[in-house]
Amino acid sequence: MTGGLFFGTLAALPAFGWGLVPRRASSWMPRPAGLAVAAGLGALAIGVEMLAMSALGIRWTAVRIAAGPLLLTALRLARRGRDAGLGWPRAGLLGSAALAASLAVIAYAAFTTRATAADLLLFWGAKAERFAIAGGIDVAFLRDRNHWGLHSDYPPLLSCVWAFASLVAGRFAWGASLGTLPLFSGLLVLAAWGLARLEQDERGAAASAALLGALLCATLPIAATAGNADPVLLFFEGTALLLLVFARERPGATPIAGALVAAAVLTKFEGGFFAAALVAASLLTGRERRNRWREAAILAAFPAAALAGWLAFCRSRALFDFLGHAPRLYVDAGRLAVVVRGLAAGADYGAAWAPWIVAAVLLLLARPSRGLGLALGAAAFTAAADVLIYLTSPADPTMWVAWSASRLLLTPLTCLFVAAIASRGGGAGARSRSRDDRTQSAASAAPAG
Amino acid sequence: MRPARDLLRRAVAAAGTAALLASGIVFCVSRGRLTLDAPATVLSNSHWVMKSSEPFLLYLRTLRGRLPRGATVVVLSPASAADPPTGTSYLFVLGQLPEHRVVPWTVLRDPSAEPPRFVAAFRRGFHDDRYRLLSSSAEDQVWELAER
Repeated sequence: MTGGLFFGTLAALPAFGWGLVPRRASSWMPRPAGLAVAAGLGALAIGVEMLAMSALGIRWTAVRIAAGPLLLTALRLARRGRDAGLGWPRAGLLGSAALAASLAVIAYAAFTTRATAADLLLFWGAKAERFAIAGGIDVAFLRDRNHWGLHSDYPPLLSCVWAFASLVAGRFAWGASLGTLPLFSGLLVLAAWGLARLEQDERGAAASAALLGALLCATLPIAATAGNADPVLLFFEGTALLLLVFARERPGATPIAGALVAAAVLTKFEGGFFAAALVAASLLTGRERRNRWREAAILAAFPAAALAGWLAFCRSRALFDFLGHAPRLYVDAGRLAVVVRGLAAGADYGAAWAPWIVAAVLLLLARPSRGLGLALGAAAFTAAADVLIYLTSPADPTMWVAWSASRLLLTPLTCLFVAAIASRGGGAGARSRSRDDRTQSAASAAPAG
Repeated sequence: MRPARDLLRRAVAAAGTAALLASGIVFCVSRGRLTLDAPATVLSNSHWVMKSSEPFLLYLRTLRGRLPRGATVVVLSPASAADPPTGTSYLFVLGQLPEHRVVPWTVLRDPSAEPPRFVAAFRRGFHDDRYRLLSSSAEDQVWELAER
């Protein structure tokens, strides 16, 4: 019962973010992508709200946290008649089977504890449970010098969302927390399916989503990510990138992408590197100079505000740990060799580097496009950031690389797969869909002014 | 030329999807018998290094209900002997006893520190004149600080 309520609360995240999806975006967004985006915005809203309540000294309760987002969703539903929206694309028999199979394997691996992350027991679960009991971000607990291993200034979004689910369920549910892996993997696949449909025919969009689902199936369980923040981070990063690749010119897409990158920044430190990578890639691949800077500014503003908020909280509560020390690079040939060897071993995923080979072959056959350039740019920047992260370690990074490389490489690898999907191009169905969209966008823009 | 390339691309994407899916299935099979039975803990089928902590995790589950809420406790285990005092074995206990105040074993040796009310020793011996044995089994003992 407790586990069901805990997982049900996480699965209900779209309900907390539905009212936050800009109306001008919901008119062109296919339903699967709308669901994923709403879940992402719901998680961000809950996390920000809980951080603000902690800052203001307001005790968390499930009702206090849920009331605001649910009210916005209710208001949106009350005005639903004006949201045309796009429905569910058809996936076809093969596409449906591939999508279902990849998600079923991920769910099986997670719930049978084959993919359990050590960090769930050492870090994420402990924080969420304590925060829920304390009814806020437990500053005294984080500041206890015996608890240095919990990294007091680590971004709080996942701990907060789990603490919210714990408040609803009555306590933290360790087994159900493993469901974060299949849930956020499923949401990323839904985002890919819906957003790819904007440029591809129905069969192509389903095949693109199935390819991404298969990537997640081959990498996330073996990288032991059930119960840690990596699936959540990958969902925010992947969905933001997909929005820019497939919907860059569409109304509301860039602010949503910016908000999702802000959520990534509040999920893990690595989210900050992704934010920088996406802004740089967007600047390099933008169409017109003016629009390019405007887009980059929007993409940077959201994560910068989120990070500033968290840093201000840490500063006011004397929580600085990692962030209290200026990073320094330790570069020498021996260390570079350790990092490169460790990354190569982590990139294997127990499948003889199959994910990289598949991505490389697909990219060799790719058609050039702006979306392709953007995703490749993000992949290159985040891969470079991964190397830099390991070169900041004052101690020998051999063990650190060994246990984290397969997780850190998930971001550049996912960016490569998004690039491969983006290069697929459209079909006859996609062209007719584009005409439909133009008509629908014009119709929905009129009443909104 | 282009249709042929597109066809090849689609074939590679389909083969890649199948290969990656198969790799995920192989991983699941490699982690033990395929079953739909609910695992005993979140470590039941995990990597062997983590799975070796499962008996300790089950023990902590029972310990949580045996100690009064809010009490200070040191938990000793075979892993804690080899670990830094506030290393992974300490963090492991911290997450499983959220209603208690878990302190590192070093407080037992620090004359200036207030001794914890309870010491739980799992698969390890413990003796300190300040403590009296509260309960004992083949696997563990729980000691309580005697009246001072």
